[in-house]
Amino acid sequence: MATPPASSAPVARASLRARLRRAMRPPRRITFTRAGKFFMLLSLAVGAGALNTGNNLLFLLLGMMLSAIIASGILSEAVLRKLTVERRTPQRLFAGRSAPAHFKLTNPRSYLSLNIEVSELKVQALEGPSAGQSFGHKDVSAFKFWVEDNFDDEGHVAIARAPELPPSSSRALPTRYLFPARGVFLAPGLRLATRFPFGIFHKVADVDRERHFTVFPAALPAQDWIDDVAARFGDIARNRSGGGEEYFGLRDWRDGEDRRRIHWRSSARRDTFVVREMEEQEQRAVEVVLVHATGHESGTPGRMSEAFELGLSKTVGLLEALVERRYRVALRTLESALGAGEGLNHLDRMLTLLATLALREGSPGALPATQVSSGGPRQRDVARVGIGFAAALSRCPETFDLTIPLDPPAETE
Amino acid sequence: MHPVQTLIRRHEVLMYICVMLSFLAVAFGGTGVVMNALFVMGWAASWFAFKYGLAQRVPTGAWNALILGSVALTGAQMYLSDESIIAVGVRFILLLLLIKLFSRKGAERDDWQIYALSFLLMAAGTALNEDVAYGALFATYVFFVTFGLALFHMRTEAARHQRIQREGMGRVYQAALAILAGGVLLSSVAIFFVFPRVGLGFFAPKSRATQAMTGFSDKVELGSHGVIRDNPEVVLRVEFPGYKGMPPEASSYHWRMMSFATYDGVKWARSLKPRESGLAFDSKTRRYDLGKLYSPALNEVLDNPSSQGRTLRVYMEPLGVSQGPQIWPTLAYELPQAIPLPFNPKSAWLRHDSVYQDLYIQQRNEMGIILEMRLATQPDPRIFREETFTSPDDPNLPGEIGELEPFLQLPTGLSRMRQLAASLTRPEQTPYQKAELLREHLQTSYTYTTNLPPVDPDNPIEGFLFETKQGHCEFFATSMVLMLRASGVPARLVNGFLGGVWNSSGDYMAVRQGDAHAWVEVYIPRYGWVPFDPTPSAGTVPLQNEGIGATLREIYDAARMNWMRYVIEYDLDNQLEGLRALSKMLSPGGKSFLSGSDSKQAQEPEEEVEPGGWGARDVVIWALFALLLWRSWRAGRRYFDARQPASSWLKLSPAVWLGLHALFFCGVGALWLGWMFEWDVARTLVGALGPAGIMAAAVLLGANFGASPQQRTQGLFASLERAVARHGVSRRADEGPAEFLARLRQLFPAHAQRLHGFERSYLRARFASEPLSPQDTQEFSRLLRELRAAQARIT
Repeated sequence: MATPPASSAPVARASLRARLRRAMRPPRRITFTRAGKFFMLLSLAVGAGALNTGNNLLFLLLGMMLSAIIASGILSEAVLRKLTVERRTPQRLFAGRSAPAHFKLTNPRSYLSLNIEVSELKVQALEGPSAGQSFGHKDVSAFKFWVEDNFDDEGHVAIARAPELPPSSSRALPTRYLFPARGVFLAPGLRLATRFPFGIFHKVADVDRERHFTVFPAALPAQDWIDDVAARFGDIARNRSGGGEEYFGLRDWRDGEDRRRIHWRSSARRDTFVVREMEEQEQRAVEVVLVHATGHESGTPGRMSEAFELGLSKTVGLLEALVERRYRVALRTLESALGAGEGLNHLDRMLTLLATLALREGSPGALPATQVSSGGPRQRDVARVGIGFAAALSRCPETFDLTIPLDPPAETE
Repeated sequence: MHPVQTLIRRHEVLMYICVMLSFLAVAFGGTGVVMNALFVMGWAASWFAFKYGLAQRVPTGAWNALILGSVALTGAQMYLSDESIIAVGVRFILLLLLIKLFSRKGAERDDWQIYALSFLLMAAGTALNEDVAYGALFATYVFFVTFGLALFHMRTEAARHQRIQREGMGRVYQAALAILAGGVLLSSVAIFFVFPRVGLGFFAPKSRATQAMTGFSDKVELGSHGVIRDNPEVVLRVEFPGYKGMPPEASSYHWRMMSFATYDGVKWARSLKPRESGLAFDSKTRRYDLGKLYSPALNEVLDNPSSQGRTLRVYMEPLGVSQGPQIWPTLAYELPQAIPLPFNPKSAWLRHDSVYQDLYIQQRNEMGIILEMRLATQPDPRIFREETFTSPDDPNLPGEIGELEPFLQLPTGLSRMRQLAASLTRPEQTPYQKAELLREHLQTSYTYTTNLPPVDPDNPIEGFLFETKQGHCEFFATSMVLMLRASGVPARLVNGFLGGVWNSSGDYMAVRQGDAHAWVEVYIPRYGWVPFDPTPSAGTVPLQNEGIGATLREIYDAARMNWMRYVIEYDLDNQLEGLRALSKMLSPGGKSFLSGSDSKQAQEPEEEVEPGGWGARDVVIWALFALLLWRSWRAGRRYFDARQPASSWLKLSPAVWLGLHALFFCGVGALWLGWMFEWDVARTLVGALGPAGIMAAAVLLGANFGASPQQRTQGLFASLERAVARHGVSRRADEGPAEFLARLRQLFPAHAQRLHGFERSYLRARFASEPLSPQDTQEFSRLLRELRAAQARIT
């Protein structure tokens, strides 16, 4: 299986504080459910009554309540003990869109586990527009017994539940990952929780499974931009089944690619899936230049940030559409440049670049040089599309074959 | 039915059972017939109301109005009636519970509230119902509520994530829940016994309803006795420590409760003002010396060691009275509750009244009482026979001759009785002789009956003596007292109980209301008050109940006795006793840690231990040692368990790890057995060598027999790895066993042949489960030796 692009994100180490906190963390954490709080208050009342009156029947009742508490502690521990959990995350994550995934929960013991809940711990945005913020379920301190914890699915980046897990078995628990914004996120680990057997305590065990997620901007349909590109550079019909008639070479099949493109004879010979690439006879190339600067020297108006995020999403939509139409697409920003390429892996590289892109203030300045890709069309054949705020595009030293302004309607009028 | 539906239905049934059980817990304490009927009907109807969705059809406001109405009703009841707050409160909870059952929409919150209310009812039941029935209901409640709450939790979780596995609700799961419920019940009982009983006693219940008990009534009206003769309600339960069964004399014990001085012709009353005072108390033994009750001359007789009689352990029901029982003559009284703690809500004190010679037990609360009485053997009557009042100045007479005057009081009239007394006795006779004569006369000339023939209500005694000649104990006793007084002997009527019946289910004697009795106390000069019973023997034989009903009652009473003793009356003192026994069990040589400070323990002879027998102490000691052996076995087995590498934290090699464990377990074993058996050499050696032996056996078996061929060969492979590790050769992470062995063949060409042989047998055993032959093992041992020896040549 190919390495998911999500994991190839830049890795940033957790802060010292976070690491210290993790080292000092108790192995289990217990909070009360709403019913549990009442149960505890009732136990205290019965205990006080028993001590005051010396009424042995109240002691008997107190014994029952304490037994229920002890049984809760022992059984919830038995449920969580020695369980292991792994996450199987989706290939591509888009901001604000939930993506299917699953947790692999394993019970190596000789007795079953019941009512287990697996969830992602709070994730921290390391890069991107929400850098520094945390997302996920908000924990309530154990001592704040007056604050009610919410055990519903809301707020979790990902959560799944297993009503039971038989002894010596594994189960894949389906879940959906949902990140609210684009960027690079640090997920410190997973949380195993249970409220078994009476639902009066919520016991959690945090498992360290550090992982970085790169969340792409959500793709928005950009039909108007595509129409502009087609109008400017022509929309020639393509041969979808072939791509070309002349043999170009063999390359490894990539995960996610259409299996029908596999060249079975060559695959059988090489003992690995290969795809036979044909040379495009009329391959078009587009370089998308994203000028992520405001063009204004002072401050970033709030509406510009919104418009930029919207524009970024539409850029993703445009890039997807271009790759879909078998354009060779290059992407250049004020910071880096990707040479022209095609296919889903190339699209992932471009989206990764966009995931952490930040809007700059002021004039865009000089852009990095265009990357020349080998085997691609000649430089002069590349159509250049500039995307950015009008003020920035006008101050950009580059020239574009087509400019797409990102300015919100009020400012363009 | 869908599994979730089944779950919901089962949970509902359990919840309804819990509600009914909690209702019964208060209903047995008395909640009123109307409320009981209303609740039971409402409880049943609510089941169908929920089924037909009544709660959804009635607006929420209507239910709120009902709740407010019941609050108002409760407030009015509290304000207008003089009912106890608990009774009114219980009724309020019952109303709330009914409203909740009807307004229930199946939401999580509704069911939690119902459970909480049922729990409150159980708590209220502790104040209303102390009977053994509460115990039975409590045990059932714990079982069902545990089961119910667990199902409720499953149901809530199922609703939360909209799916539940069918197998999750299978029989295995339900059996596990049943075990859980049983475990919670056992644990409740365990916590009950170990939870420290130190209380502040600010709000101890002090207002138990006073019951009219015949043996304790402060007035005796002749003629009321017959109705209680058949009352089987138990008043006292008596055990005879050190005696199997019921001693023959126990059926004639006269349990003295209170005495009477004044007779007005129809009824007896306690018109004299009592003079209460304390009694000599030994705080170490917690014993009260009752010598103050008797005259110095009698005390002298009783002080004789041969006068030491039986010891009785008496459990007194909570009767709402403060009189304590005595049997003439009682030497000492022990009140376990008299524990010297300032805030013990169960503490009790003994006081005595010098006018009536009654005993009073004062308590912080009105619980039942447990006491021990040390009796003296009855003095020889001959010593009383010659004692007489010589003159008012006789120094042998108590100076308070004037104090005896009330006991010579006679009502006006009764001339025929006076004549009879005069005809039966002679003035020169001593008081004791007169009493004997009158007793004999009454016993022989009159008949005992509880079926009283009509007598003159204004003069019942002369009616009994001269007309009907039939009556019960009060007539006999009153007649004797009056005739004694008429002949100049101070006498008084005494009330209490006679004998009792043996309860074979509980091995104790039950003294019942029906055993109420009246007799006479005669003042004997120098010796004080001596009891006489003029009632013919027919009236002094305890009424024995027969039949299945009596047997069932006996069993119930035995259960009640145990409930009272082990649950209701369980206190700090019992806990200390238990702690003492435990410390005795788990201390070197079987001596209690606490015994040094307890003189009572020191006084009592050590329990005899049967030679060669196994006591609880031995069982505990050896069970813990077996646990140690088991841990040693596990440690030994772990040495060969490839899945669990030896301590990854300390980075110890398996051999070092095993050695450290062996040292630790052997040390603990030697210390444990050595200390427990006072450093008996043989047992200390067993303690030291036992774990080592077990561990060695585990290692050997793990290496050769116990493990599967795969495990054994893995162990061998690990040994090989360790052997070549001495030469700095280790297996790479990406190297399989065959590759590794091939590399070894290159590195150790001299042993290439043996290595090749090992590879073949290893792969066969590892992947084809073919066991290693003895030759293979032998070859391997040789290979290992050679490889280790090769070290010298290489280095």
